Amino acid sequence: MLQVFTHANFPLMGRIRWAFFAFSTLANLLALYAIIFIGFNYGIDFAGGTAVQLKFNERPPVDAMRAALEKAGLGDISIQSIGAADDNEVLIRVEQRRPPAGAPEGEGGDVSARVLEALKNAEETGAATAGKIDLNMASVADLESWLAQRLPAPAAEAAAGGGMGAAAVAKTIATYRTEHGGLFKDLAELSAIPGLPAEAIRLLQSQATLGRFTLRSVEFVGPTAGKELLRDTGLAILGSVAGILIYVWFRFHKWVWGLTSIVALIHDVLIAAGAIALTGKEFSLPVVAALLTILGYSINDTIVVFDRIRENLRLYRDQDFVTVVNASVNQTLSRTVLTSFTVFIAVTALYLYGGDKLNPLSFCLLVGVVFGSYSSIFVASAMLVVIYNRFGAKLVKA
Amino acid sequence: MTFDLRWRLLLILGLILLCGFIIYPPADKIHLGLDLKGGIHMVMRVKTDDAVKAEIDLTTERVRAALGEKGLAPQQAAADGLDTIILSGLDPARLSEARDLLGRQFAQYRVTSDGTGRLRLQLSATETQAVRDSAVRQALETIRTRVDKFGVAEPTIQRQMSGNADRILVQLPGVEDPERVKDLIGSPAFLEWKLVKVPPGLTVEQFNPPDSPQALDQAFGGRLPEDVEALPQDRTTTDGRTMRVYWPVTKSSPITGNDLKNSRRSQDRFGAPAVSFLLTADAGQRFQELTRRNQGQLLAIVLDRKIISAPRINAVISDEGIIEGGNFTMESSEDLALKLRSGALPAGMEILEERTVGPSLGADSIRQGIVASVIGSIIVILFMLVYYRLSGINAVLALGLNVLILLAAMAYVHSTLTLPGIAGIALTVGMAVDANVLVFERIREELRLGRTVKAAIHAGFDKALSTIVDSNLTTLIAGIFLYAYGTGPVRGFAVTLNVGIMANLVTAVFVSRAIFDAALTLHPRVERLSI
Repeated sequence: MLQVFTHANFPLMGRIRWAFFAFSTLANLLALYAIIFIGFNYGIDFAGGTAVQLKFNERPPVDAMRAALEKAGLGDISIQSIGAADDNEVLIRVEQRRPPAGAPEGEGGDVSARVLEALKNAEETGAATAGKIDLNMASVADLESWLAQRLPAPAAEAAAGGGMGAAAVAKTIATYRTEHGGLFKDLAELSAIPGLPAEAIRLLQSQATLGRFTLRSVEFVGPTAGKELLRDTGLAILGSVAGILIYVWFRFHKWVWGLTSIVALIHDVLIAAGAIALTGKEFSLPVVAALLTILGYSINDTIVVFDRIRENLRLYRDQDFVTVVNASVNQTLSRTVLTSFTVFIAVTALYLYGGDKLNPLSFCLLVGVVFGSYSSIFVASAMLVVIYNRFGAKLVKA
Repeated sequence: MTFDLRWRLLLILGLILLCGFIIYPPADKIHLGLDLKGGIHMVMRVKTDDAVKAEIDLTTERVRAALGEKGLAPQQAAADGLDTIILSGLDPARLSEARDLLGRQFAQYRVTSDGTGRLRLQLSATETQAVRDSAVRQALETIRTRVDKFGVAEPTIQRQMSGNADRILVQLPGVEDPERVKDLIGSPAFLEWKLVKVPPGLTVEQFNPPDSPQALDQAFGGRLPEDVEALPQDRTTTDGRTMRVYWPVTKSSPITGNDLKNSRRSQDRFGAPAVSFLLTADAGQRFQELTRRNQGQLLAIVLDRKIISAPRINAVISDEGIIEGGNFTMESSEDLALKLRSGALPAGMEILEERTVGPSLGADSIRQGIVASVIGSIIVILFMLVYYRLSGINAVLALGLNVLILLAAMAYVHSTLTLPGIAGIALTVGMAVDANVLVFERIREELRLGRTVKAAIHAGFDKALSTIVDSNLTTLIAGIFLYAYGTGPVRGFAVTLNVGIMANLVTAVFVSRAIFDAALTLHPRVERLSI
């Protein structure tokens, strides 16, 4: 039988607990320092503004892009590469600006349209004026109406054996493009698309162009929305903490148990949030989701341990409290470690393979899961022992 | 096999079949969120102040008319703040008569006299609220009509019920062109026809609209007449720049977009895109009268307080006409016709949040999410099989059923699967085996204490039950708050997490135990458990 800990009997609640207290205090201080003095790298959800994600055919010319955007007078902008190096993706952020009085309100689309306009080089602008369609930027609808004006009528084509109208051609091309990373590198690729009529291929190869990039996503969050999201986040966290406190209090009858588990929980969330601030990972809505999950999950381990302590207190009434807690922690050590381990596996897979968007979320969960197990033993249970030693049985035992 | 166990296994089989039936075929039944499918997500605020202001403006005119009929017309009637009208220069002797008249005719207003010969009409708070509410409802209807006519599959258009009642959420899957959609659903599209009043001493041919409102005032000798206002027109000069000029037009609009019966894209006589319209019979007669009386004058076509064009009235027009000269493209003329057909929005819209995801990003997200979940699941499964050997199979079966129930529940309540939602499923996989671990470890402990296999299994489940319920419930508490306050994709995470937790309770406690019991029935004399 495989077993992590058989007959574990570590003196975890002995003097060594002070070393862990010191470690926890330090970790929390570091987290607080990171949150207050380094601060969160607020994503667009909270900071507001516009974010445009582009994917290029080759290495994105970041410096040239920056110069072009500055020339367009878009104010504070930042450009960063995202994903793997050969993804050639960039994220352009334009800070929120109050529109000048009397001007139409700053709508996100206006900013993103201006970003795209500013990034076009002479060749791309020229092609657009000449009525050429950019196969990398065109939407299905654009492509369809462009083709409809240029392709022979479907009836005539059907007679000629083509049998594919503008709508079908546009859809086939768009589907191929979506399945191949969203970009064409060469117009010759069109010939490789199965089922496309030769007529359409000839037309596009002579009259379409390929821009250097395609639009992956546009996000705009106005100042009001950003503030509201931040407020909702605060409410969600407060509500969860209160709900869990009430539940644990009700479940274990003694408020001290509720208190220590809440301290453990705040400990975990604080460290996870601090890790986000320290690493400069984007603080976005999914990170909030991760923090709330940690709230719920961290208490999980604590409850497993507490349940066992309560059970053992009933079984061994004549035993010393510290001994009982120590025995309970040791008895549940295997599962505390194992349950976290399985979650840890799942989250690690997300962190490594889940892509860019899930990266901050899974990183936050990773930190939270590890500290969640740690704190149920070295914060929640150890605090019970400390309180027992200081204030006696009345507060702790039912 | 006992009757009880047979019944339980049948129930589980039924559950599996039911879930399979709900999910099949998955491509149709699992609804993907916009972040996976691609599309536009927008939160808009209806500027309900606009609607209140319009109500006050309308009432001001009606008050003027009502008092005028009785020879009580005030010298001035002007809005004060958002919800109040101040009438000044009334005949002091007949002040109370005017007050009584207004009190009777405009019951939704509170009419007071401020002691200096002026009257105040204030729209009551409940009435103001009703105006705002109806503006939002009307905006919702109009947007719905426009989206329907534009032709988007499975759109979501709803009023946000929590918190701010003036918010409208619009989700359009598969739409890639945010600029066009924003104009299409966000612009009021209030159309008006107004006569151009050229300054005194000038003929229509001599008048050229100046490029500032001040210059226009000058042309009128310093001040525009009472019934004339200045409205802008954006003109494109020959070298491609945009220039803004100001026209003097009547404040009143004899014909508006409300008088339209139909409109569609068409072409002007040079083949350029334009919009043709058809008026209602009643408005057609008014239009005929208007054009007959004002031959040779200019008639401005105004869209959302901006002049599209101001053609000369050369013929009597009745109910059919064309809007041209607005620098239309095929697309913009099509869209304007659609907006006019759908009716105007009662107020302006402000975009609070807009997220557009292109189809290729969505496809990449799905792939990455699935790869990560599958890798995570495989390692978790391998770990359980290595660590708990044959009993691990039990955990893996329970895990599989957990994911099946999760997906079926989501399909059943038409919940959407988002990218964070996929993360939620991956997390569920990690957490689902937690309950199994709790039970298995407990069983091992009981075995170490020397109990028989059967007793150890029963004790393991019984003793671990309260812990499993406790730990799942606390995670659920956080998940419920996450759902309540989360928006968009994050809410998707909350959904998969919460449903996964509940499914976990079923599989870990009920299903896993039934599998053990079934195995025990097959091998009643087993002395060693592979755990």
